[in-house]
Amino acid sequence: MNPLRLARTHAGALAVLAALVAAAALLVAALPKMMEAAYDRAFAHSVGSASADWTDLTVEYSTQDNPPEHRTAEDFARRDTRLREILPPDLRRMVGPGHQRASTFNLPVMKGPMADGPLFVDPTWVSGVEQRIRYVAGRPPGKSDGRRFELAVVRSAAEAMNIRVGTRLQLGTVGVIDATVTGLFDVVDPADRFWDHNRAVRAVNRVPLPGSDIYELHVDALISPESLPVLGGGERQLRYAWVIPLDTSKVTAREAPALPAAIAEYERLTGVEAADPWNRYVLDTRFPELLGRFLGELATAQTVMTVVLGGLLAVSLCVVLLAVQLMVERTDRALALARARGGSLRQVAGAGTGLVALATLPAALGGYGLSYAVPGPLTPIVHAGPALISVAVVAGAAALLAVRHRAPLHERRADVVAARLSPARITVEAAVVALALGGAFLLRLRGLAVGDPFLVLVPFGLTVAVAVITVRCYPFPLRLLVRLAARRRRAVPFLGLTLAARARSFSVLPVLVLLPALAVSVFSAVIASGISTAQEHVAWNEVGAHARLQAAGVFSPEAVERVRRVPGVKRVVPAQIATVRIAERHPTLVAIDLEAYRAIVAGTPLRPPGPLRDGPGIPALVPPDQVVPELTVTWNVQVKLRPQGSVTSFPGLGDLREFVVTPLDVRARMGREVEITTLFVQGDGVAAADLAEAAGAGVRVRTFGDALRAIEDEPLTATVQVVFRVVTLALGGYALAAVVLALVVGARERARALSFLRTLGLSAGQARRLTVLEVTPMILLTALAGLGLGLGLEPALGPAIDLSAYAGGAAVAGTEVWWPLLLAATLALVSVLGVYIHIWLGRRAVVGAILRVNE
Amino acid sequence: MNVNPTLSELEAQASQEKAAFGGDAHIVCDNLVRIYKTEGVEVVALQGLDLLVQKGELVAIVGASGSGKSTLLNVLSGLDVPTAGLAKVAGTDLLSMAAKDRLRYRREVVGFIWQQTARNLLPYLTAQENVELPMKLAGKARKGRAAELLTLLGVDYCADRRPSEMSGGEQQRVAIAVALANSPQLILADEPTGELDSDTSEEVFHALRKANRELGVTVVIVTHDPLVSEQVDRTIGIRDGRTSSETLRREGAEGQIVAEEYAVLDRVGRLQLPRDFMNALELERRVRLELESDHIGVWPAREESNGE
Repeated sequence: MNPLRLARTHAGALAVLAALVAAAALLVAALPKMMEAAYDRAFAHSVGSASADWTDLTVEYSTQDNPPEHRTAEDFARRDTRLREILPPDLRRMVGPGHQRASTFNLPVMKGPMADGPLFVDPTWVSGVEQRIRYVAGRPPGKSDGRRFELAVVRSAAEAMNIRVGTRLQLGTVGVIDATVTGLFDVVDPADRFWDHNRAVRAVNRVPLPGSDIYELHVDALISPESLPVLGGGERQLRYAWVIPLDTSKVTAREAPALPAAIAEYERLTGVEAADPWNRYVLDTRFPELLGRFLGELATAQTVMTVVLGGLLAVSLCVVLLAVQLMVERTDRALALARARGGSLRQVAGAGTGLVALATLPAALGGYGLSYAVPGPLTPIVHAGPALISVAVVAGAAALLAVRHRAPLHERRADVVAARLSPARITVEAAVVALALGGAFLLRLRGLAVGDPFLVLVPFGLTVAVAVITVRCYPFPLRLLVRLAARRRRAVPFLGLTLAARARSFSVLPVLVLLPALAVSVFSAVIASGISTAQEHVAWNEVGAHARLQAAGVFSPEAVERVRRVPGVKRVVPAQIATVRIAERHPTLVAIDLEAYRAIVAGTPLRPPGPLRDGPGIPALVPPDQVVPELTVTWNVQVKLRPQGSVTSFPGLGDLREFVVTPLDVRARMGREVEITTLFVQGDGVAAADLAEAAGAGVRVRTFGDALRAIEDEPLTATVQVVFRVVTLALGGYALAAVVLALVVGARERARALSFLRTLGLSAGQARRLTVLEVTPMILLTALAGLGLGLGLEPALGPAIDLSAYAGGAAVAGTEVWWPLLLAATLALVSVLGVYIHIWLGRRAVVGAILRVNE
Repeated sequence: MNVNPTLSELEAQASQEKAAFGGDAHIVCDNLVRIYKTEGVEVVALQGLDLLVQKGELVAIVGASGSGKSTLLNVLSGLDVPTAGLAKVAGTDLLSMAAKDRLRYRREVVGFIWQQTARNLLPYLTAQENVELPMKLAGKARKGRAAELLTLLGVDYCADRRPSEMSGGEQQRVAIAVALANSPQLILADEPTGELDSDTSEEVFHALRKANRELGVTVVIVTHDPLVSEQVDRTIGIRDGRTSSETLRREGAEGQIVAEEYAVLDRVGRLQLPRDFMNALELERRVRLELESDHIGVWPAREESNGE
């Protein structure tokens, strides 16, 4: 038995098998690669976009003792070397060159220039700062004697603080410093991550004083390295810092899970580094927080992807097995003859398996090769996936052939068809259903995020359970229809439905393909639509209207008018947002025309507070525990409000906790000027640039479109959506292929049955309708079951899969039903299309060629 | 025999080998039963069939559709395993064979030909390659054997043709060559002329007879074709899963063929009466037998007069 000769004879079926294997291998190798690449991009995005003081390791040390070991730049370098020595290996390979800093802590300017608010200037030494600044006035500071210091201040801060070259300052109350400003500088590259650690050197830090319009101004002023040994004199409180930057590009998403433990270990090691129990080295980094958030997102993504890609793998394998079944069917005659003529089972199954391997192995290799066109890291699954498919297909073929040709004669008696239920089969099926339900229950109880591999199998179990129930129960509704059809005069519906109710030709494998195909694509559609709804909610909540403009200072009436005239803007609602004081608390006060605001956000998912009714005094909404008849709020002066209700959130101000909402004219009622700080704009699709241009300099513009895009463009979210789309398309293709293949597999038997009927006077058109009627009910019932399963998987797995990471943190619930319904209907239609394709392919069959004399 | 045997006599009697049924016949079927069980429903295809065929014989098996002919052939060809009874071919017990023995049996002992001409040959192999296939499967390809067989059966000119390029008769004769490829002792043919016209049938039957005469192969043909059944030495009729009749042919004194039909008497004395005999005398349920000096008379049951 020469497989090559068989291959030539069955080239068509073999080509179909090869194409399906290649597609499956490509999908299985490329999609995980794509996902891994997305995980890496997401890691780089979520970690790389964070500021350096979040991601880098900063070891701090604080003392009043002016310790001898930390007096010179060399001392700091030595300590830096030591701190790097104790880094765990996972972190050591990530670190890059860093810097050190020593500075005083919050020294108030006791004597100095006149300013609007309190000034704080802290003499600071930062290693390597000289290369990052450029003097624009005066000269660099010189050496200090311990009391008199020369300082250099960033120009922008000097302007804000009214400082010039030569300005003399008296700083602090303990260890008082007499300082002279000798130079002003500009920062060479403000985007340098170095400045994330030294913000107060780069620019002035404004700290609002609650309940008033006054800001404290803080700045770190540079001293010369030679002054460092005396900076800690006079019992001045000093803060030291060693910054060890971590290069996150050296780590992939797969290595990230090891990092939190390494950081915790480093924290422990730095803690025991100091000999003095009172002054300890403290690790300051928010990297674990970032990592934790990312790893949470990653775990969810991986779980969802496992479910979806696993479904795809299962479906593609089933379709490939259908193609194998087609091969087995096509080679049946030759192999059965060889077996009857003295071929051993090994010879016969070997020849058939060789034939399948001949198509499978190069195809799998081809698909695997093609996957290299998709960029992404090579994980084990990329290699194992295609190999697994090849092995499964070849082994499946060997098993099918062995079973088929186990006995040399396998003629079925077609007249004996009264199937009797086997108790063993019923027991197995009941066990599968019970296991799946138990698994789903456990899943809801425990959740998937813990990464329990057994529970990841639950969706598959549920799918198999529903498939079992479908296969077992689909004849029942059909038999009802058969009874109805039997009363009609037309023969075709009766015959077609009777065949459908028996449907031996259209058996288990197509159900196993169609059902998960539908379930997985409906599930992805539900999740995808849930995610996009939640994303929109988040974007709305982030902006608070179609657009929000925030001024650094105050909007002039002209600026508001210019914004109103921007094309596309329908309405503008001005507001004043400020921090006020209620006893010891500092809620955010929003003075706004609440009615106008409620009108512009009507029809959006936003739920604004209110409304406020007119009444005696100043009406207000206040934090829930402050709802009293009269509430006193400090806003420069004391204001008496008459709370009408409570407010817990305000659109667009999601990151704040407590609110007080009042009418816009509250300042006018206090006899002061209304200062507009924020504009809420109604106008769909207004460009942020147009608004910014109209509003003038120093205005932050945020539009709904930009906010939504920012969420959607997150690498993980974008890739999840792409994968959902690819998988849904692939599953649609597979559903079509499954129906065509299943029909082709049973074509010979069906052609004979139809030819018999045609000798009895069945027309060609009736024969076509008969085929459609025979197969379509099964497709529709399976589609219904798949739709039900897909819709049911979401609530079943919902609590276990936290998808909020993709929706900018909002909880995701799949509420959309129409879209999955449409999808299921489309897939069912595509499958029915397969029936017509099959009919079209077989349109030339001649009755005489199928029926032989004597039959 | 001694009316009161002693114990030692009984022991000797028990240990004494009885002559087996059929003796050294080439094909022995004794009380053969085959029950099909398909999805829980049982169909009894053979209900205690007895058959003896001597080596080198050419016999035909006839019977109505569903009488069990094909089942018998499948059993004899080693494709099917009987449910009970005894089936021996060339001394090989077909019931107790292991899978390996069964394979060897199919390779070396039997060859067979199906009714459908297309089913006997692989469509994409030439006649010669088709004949070589069983030899290759058995791992003993002999050079020239295929050509030899094709010449013997008069289809040597078809050696390089594929089945689609041959007539039905040619295909069947190549199929006989395929069946003979591994020099089997027995050829089984299931309606080999069923799809052929009478001239072609004649050719195919002659080819079978040639194989029988020249190679000494035992040939069993299941057939509906009178052309075949009337030219063999013995025709065995099967009814309801049992051998019911045998027709023996011999040459008469003037050279004409004399056919005599016999009913088959099984080992326990059961006999199937021909259906037309039963109908003619309205034999039902019970008959009366009377032993005469040289025959047994069979009479319809006597009408019992009521109240007489």
